[in-house]
Amino acid sequence: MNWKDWAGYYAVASYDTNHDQEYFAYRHAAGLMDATPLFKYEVKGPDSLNLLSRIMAKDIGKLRLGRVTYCCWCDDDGKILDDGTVARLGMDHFRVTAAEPFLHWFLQNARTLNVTIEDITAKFGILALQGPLSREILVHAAGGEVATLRFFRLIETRIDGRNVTITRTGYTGDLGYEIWCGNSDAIAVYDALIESGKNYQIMPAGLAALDVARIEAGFIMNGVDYFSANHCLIDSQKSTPYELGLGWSVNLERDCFIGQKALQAEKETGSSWQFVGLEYDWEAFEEIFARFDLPPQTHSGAWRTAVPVYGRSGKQVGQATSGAWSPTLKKNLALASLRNDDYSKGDALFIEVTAEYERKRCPVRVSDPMFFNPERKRGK
Amino acid sequence: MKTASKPNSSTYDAIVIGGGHNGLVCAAYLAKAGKKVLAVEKRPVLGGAAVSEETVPGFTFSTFSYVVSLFRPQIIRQLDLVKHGLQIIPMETTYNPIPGDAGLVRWADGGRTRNEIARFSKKDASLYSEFGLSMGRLSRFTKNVIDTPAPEPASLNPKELFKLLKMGKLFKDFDADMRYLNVKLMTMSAVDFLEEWFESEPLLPSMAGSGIIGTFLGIRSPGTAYVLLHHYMGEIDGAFRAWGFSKGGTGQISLACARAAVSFGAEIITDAAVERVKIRNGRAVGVVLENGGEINARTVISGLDPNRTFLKLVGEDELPASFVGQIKRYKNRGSSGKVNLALSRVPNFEDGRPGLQHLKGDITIAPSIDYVERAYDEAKYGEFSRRPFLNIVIPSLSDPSVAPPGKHVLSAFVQYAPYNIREGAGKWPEKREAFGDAVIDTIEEYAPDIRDCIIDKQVLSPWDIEKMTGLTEGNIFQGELSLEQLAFLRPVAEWSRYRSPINGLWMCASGTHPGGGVMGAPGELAAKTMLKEGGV
Amino acid sequence: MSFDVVVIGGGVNALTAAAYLAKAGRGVAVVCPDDEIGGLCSRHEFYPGYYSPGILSDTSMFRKWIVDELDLRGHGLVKSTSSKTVAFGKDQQIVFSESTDKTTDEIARVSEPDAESYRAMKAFYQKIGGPISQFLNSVPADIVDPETTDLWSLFKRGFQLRRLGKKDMLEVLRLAPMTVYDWLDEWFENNGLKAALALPAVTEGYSAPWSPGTNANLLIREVTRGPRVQGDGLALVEALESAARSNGVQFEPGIVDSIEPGRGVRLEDGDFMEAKTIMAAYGPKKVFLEMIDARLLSHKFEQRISKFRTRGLTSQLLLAVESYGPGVESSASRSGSRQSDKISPGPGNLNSGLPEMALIAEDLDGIEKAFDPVKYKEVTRRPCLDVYIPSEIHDDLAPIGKTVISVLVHYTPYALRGGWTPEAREELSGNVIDVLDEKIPGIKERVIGKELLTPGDIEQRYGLSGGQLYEGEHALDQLLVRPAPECSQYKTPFEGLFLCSGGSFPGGGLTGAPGALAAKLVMQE
Repeated sequence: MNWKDWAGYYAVASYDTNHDQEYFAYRHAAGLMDATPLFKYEVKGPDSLNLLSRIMAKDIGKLRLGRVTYCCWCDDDGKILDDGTVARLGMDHFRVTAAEPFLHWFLQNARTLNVTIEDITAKFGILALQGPLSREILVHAAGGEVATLRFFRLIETRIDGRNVTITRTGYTGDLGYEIWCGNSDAIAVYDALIESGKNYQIMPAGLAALDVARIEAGFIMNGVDYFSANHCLIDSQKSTPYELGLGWSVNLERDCFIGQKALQAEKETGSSWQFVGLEYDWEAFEEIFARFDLPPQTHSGAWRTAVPVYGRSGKQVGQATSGAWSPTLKKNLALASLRNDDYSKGDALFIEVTAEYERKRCPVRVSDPMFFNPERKRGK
Repeated sequence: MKTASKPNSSTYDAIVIGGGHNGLVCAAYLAKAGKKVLAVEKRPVLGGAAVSEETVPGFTFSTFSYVVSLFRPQIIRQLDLVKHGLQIIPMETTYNPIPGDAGLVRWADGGRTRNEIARFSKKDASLYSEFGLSMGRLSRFTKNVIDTPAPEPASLNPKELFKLLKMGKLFKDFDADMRYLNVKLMTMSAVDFLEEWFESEPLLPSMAGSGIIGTFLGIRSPGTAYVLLHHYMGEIDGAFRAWGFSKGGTGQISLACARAAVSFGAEIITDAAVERVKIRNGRAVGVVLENGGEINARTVISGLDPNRTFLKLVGEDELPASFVGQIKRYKNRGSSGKVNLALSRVPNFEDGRPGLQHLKGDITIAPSIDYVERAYDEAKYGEFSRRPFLNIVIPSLSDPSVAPPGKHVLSAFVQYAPYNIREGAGKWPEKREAFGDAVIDTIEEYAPDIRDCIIDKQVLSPWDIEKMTGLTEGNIFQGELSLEQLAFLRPVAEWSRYRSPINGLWMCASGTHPGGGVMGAPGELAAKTMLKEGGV
Repeated sequence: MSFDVVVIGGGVNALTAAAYLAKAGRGVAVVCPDDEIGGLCSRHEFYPGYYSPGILSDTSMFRKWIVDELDLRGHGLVKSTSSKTVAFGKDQQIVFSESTDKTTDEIARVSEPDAESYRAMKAFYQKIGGPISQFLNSVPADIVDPETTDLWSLFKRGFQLRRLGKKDMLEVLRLAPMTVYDWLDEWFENNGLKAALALPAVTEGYSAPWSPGTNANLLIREVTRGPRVQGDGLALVEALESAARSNGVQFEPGIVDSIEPGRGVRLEDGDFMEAKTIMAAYGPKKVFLEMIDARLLSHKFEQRISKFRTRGLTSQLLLAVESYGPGVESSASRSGSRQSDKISPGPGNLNSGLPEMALIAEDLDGIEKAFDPVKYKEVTRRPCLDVYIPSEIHDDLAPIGKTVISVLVHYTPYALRGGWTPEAREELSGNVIDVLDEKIPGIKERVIGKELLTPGDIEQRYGLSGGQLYEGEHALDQLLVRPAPECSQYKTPFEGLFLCSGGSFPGGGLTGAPGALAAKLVMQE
């Protein structure tokens, strides 16, 4: 078993010495992961919507009851602080997830608002049940209404007699659910899910497998593919939602929200960076290693030490921030930021590859970062 | 290390008065540059306030200075101090005990620390790492200030103006947020500054406490915020942690410096107190020892505090009256004492925490802002604090060499213990016992079995510190670290560059820029300045 | 209703700014409820027939250049030649008057060496006063985000300071961050003298004599101080109001509900006053956190304004006193040396023998000890007092022959442990009256009515955030960048909105400087 630090908690990276089986569970059966260390906030009160509308780049006013949305939030300069989900449980009742602690941010922005914000990180457990068979397992555990739960919707129900909130969301880019339960109920719910899944080859799964899955799905990660503006040492380390391919989640035409002016300006004048997926040219990759008489060597899991990306002239045009060999697609993938001044659509690109201690450049093809996007993810 | 008490020669290029760590660093740099150097120490042990002594058989106390804060890494590299025995063991935790509670421990692990803080305030927990980051960014500027002689703002010399501009440019290169933060940090009180970020106790007083160490100020006194930066400087030094223990006690730093100095050809004598600086035609030409011996040198460098250097060793008659006035106004104001304990076992803090890991760093007794402020209020009117702010370390948990197996040494830095008590400083010997009891009573509130653990104790009031080390009023920094006594005003205006009004007499210790602490920076900068300006 | 400029607030800075702008030909309206004209120098009846003179009265730092530029003398302003402040120490009194010679003689009665030092200190302030008052009387340089003009102005200031000579320049740099305690200790030996000099300066912030940086407050006071205005604060605002009116300023009695930057001001009764330029003479917290739609503020700016420190530590005790006239021998009139310079008859002088102004603080430690309990939210047992007896010069504040005493009480916590219950109020008032009665015997039994304004009450009545009398604590960082980098030069992040209260450079008090400097900036733009 491999452990990893996650926000001050021990979290499982992989239950075995190697994460392969867990990855395949995510993609072919179901993996059950403990996502409790995710930061969770509960926002209640008459002004909850006003608060979230002010903070989030997305118009939360449009979020209907019983739905969940993915969104990001920015500082005054439109630089991204974090990304996460907002779930609407009632007219004046929301839950927010975040990768980093933001209680102070929520509180600071609530000065004139009639709203309560509670850090419920330690109060609730989150179990992520992800994979093509997760629906069957959950129907078995929680009953039939889960069967009709649509993508990014939530229901409140019971598992093993305990109250849970189930959202059809996840970080694997596959069919999947996240189950919120009271902290003290978490172990019972976990056991119930394992019990329900035993005929479906459910597996406890960890973060290492998740990391591969999320790269295939093109999901960015705070602290890897971008850095929270509050944690950057210099301005150039900051990013904006547009630069990260999250422009679709920004709603400019509405009441004031934090970063609005800067984002408006960026939308008008254009962004400095763009976020892309990169697929290695496999033959060229093979060739690089073949020169040393070696078979192509890929990482065993996801990597997150950034490497430079070059243009044809040899000039660095950006960096790949994380990547993985996709066992499903049989491709070597990376997520990358490219500088718009130096890269235009169609330009040839090369990524740095180290073969036998030597740095080489391997041609890559630009692609939609959502490399793997099965129908079942959002389908009925 | 063995040292003689008589010099081999009667004439040197330079004599360093005082074998404190700054004096030894200075001597080592000068010797390394090929100068014939003699360092003279009055006590039998080297180190000044950075000494280790086996006060109780088998127990090595770091008698005065007990942690290594910002010892400059370039000194370790340039003087090859590791070869000469220096080993620094990082301190990883800060523990604030609370009676009947698990207290607050801040660990090297950010997430773990956040969870600890969240017990007291989730808001504070969510801001903690952001605060560290801002401070880390800011310390880039401060590092530059520490590692160069202070610029002279009143100078019309183009070189000085250029230096100022450079400093200004460095300041300007920061973004506006950092500049604003810097203005606040330099002038605000530790509590006011921290309250812009945090709300909970004991986090606030624990952090603010570092702002008052060694000063005669309270945590609510303006000008105490900037010391907070020191805690964040370690990281930009490339070191893992800013604070640590020197293996074998703080004295080992001094000894490593001494060995380095000797390896470069310097000579060191102990048990040799300097009575006065020999001055001929307004120029320092050597020293006269208390035993009557005279040693000549082209340059005399004082590692003693400004008051002692000028008013005792030089004498008012030799100095311009205005300078004497400045030195007399220079504030020393010892404010702290020290209690060293030899323990039969580790006291039980009854915090329900497993193991001793959380006791390996520093243990700060500062349960609330009011507690620390009240301790200060008592001191203002000439009393020692009945419930003092304590900074406790148990170095034997990290370095077993300082105590017999299974036994421990505990060192408690105590604030406040004003040198000038109401009854007069001379009455300290009569109050010493009561002072020690107040400290142990305080510890007892957190570790109820402390009295059962004590094998022996050493209680040091500022009066004792003065008597033993010669530090005027027992001020551990050779002068208050208040804004008007820092940088180009340290020790006094127009004499902030290690020189003095007496030709050939220089200063090299904490009474000069950048000030006190086991940093070594004044010694290094003084030596480098002298070598550059042909002072030796 | 449409104007070029709407000034909100009616205090010294508001009236100054309005007068300047109107004089320059702008159409100016001042929005302020009638009874709040005068701001901190506005009166209210606190006991039937007895009126408060407002909360600030010391006009000695009102800038002379403003008097000249607005021709305030033409509007009735008279420089006082005879005003005095009696400093009560332990078994001693020193009368401070407009003449340094006289004051020095007074000091000589308690300490000959201190009299010499006082003269020397005055000379020192005189010497360094030039460049420092220039600094205090111009728009501050933006040191946080300097533009070329700021750098140039910084350089110029530095150069002016350097022209004092190396020694004096370094001395100025040394003394600003010092404690008042250490600074005065370097000069004087007499405790009462030190306390009298220190009290007004150290009580401008969350500070006491032992607090570093307080000496900057003292320095600023000393170099900007001049003769007081005859009739003090009340007379000053009358002259300013007259100057404003005669230049065509319109006064609009109304309460501001909200500011819409660039457009105008909405009043509580729903009226909207259009103006491209709005000058806010309220403190920055009130302006940005109460009068502007929160959604318009950037997160960072809102945080900075929220963190601007405005902890009020002063309460005011207003006393209605039965005839304290001839026949009652005050300790002030007992003092022999004062026979020759009796309080000269002002318009309402009752010649009761009471001083117009008095400071009661025995020594620096006494001030410090009055501060200590406040840190723990407790009532001070022996407060230090800054006393103003306005009925000595204004005959319309009290019935004929009766006296009004306004006492600023240092220190008083904003929030008291256990709350400001009637008992707590009685306790503090009692402590104040006891101290007062020691120095001015007979007061105690003549008090017929009183009103205590705690910092919270002061906040309510005068619109001062936190009840802080200077619209924001005077501390080094809040002087260098006041109140926040985005608005340290009167401009704000909002086009057309300017600040002109004591919450802006060079700070609070009856100086007129923020109002005048902000108005000049608006005229330039």
